[in-house]
Amino acid sequence: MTGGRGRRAAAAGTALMRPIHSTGLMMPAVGLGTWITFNVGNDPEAIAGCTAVMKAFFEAGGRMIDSSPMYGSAQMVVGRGLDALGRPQAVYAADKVWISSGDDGPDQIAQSRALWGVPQFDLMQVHNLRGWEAHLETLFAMKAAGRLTHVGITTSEGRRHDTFEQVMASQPLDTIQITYNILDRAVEDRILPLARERGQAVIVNRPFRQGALTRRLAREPLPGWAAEIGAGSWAKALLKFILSHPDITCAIPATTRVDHVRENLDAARGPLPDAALRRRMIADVEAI
Amino acid sequence: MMADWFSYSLTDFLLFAPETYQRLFVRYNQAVWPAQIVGALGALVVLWLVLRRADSRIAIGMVHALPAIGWLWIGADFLYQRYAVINWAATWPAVGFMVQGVLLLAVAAIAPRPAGHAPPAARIIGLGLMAAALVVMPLAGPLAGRPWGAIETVGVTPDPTAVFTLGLLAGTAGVWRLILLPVPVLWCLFSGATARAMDTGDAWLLPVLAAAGLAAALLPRPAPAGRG
Repeated sequence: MTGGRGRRAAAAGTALMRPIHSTGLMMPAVGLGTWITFNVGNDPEAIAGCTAVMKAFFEAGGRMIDSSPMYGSAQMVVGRGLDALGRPQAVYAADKVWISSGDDGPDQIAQSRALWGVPQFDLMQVHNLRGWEAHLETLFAMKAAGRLTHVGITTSEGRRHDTFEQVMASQPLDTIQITYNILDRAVEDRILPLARERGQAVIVNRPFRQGALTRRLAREPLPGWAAEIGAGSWAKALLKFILSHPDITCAIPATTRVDHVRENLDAARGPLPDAALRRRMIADVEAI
Repeated sequence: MMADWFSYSLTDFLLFAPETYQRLFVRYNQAVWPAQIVGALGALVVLWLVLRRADSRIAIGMVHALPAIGWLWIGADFLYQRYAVINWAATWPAVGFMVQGVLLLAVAAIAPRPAGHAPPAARIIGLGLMAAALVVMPLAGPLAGRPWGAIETVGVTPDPTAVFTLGLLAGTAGVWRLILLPVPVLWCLFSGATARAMDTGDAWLLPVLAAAGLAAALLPRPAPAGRG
């Protein structure tokens, strides 16, 4: 904490890192999502664009890339990008298992691994709790065998939070992935406190409501408080809002643009809003 | 669980960006050129035969066999090989298109001469839809702001091919038209929902044309005149 009005400050120039508590691995607080943006098929021009985004992401200190078999060609595009970039050691490969049958989980995970071209995943999550009982059994067995580092579950847009909490409370998860942004804050009441209590790292999806939030706010001038936290854009301000919650480990915005990925990672540097400023930010955005 | 489903919107099922969808058509059109010309010429032949009320076995065979080639090609190449790469849900329509192609070929092979004709209103709507698929639908994309390279043409891309076929069925009297209706109608629902999710300016066009085609195809056909 510094004494600046309405803000908490990280050391200037140092990217915010947060731990995955179960193993102590420190993770840059901004990752890279691939939903929609990396689903570009076999289009060489578009794949090159995604590779440029990944290159800028790693150059800016990013590590966590998150994908899913549900995301069309995104896993393949990530794999091609990693190939083109010479297989960066920094990558923290986070993916999901998304299939109804527990028996089919291992095959799907193997296929995902082949598409990424990684020897093993750092994090494998049960996507939207689909078939979670059987898949978690598989994932914990893989972790015990040293073929997986972290195990998690995901949900989005507030779905199945009751079941999600039950799984969080009953299973030795390393991570959870939820939707959290300045307008979608339902997880603050029960899920984030439970994650803190259980020592589960929290990954945030849809930080911009799939771009709808930044598109909507783009017409509005940035309020004066944006300068207090070093946010020159709505996107950066929205990310800083998310990262200022102490229970959040990593937000994973998706983008197709190199300038945006740099800006996203820059949100993890410099001051973050304190509790009072968070309240003002919420009030201002809700009023728009 | 059911409440979960109601919490989804159309856009939640959209796996790709509108730009990616456009690029899919641009790259496909480049890859298959000049199939667009061949498709349009085939469609013109079918339209001409329907206009002439040609009902010989050969004519009936041709008006079903020519669209069948388009359905099979689109199912195997466009939907399965290309679209399914960015949308795993396209695998099912790909199978549907190939089934539709086989059904059209079966009708072409049997080529039964229909007893009687479609009602005038159904025939007019049918011919109108065939013409719209040939001329209006290819122009709709550029008019809505999509690049010319992403143009959608009969026999090569799914939407105009589905509307053209619905027009053909609307102008047909044979009872077999009823088994040829579901696949184009279902495709129009699927593709119309995709366009709606992408919020394209012409998202209304396909559902409107499909609804007209379905209504016209379901209009009762007059009973054949008795033989003396």
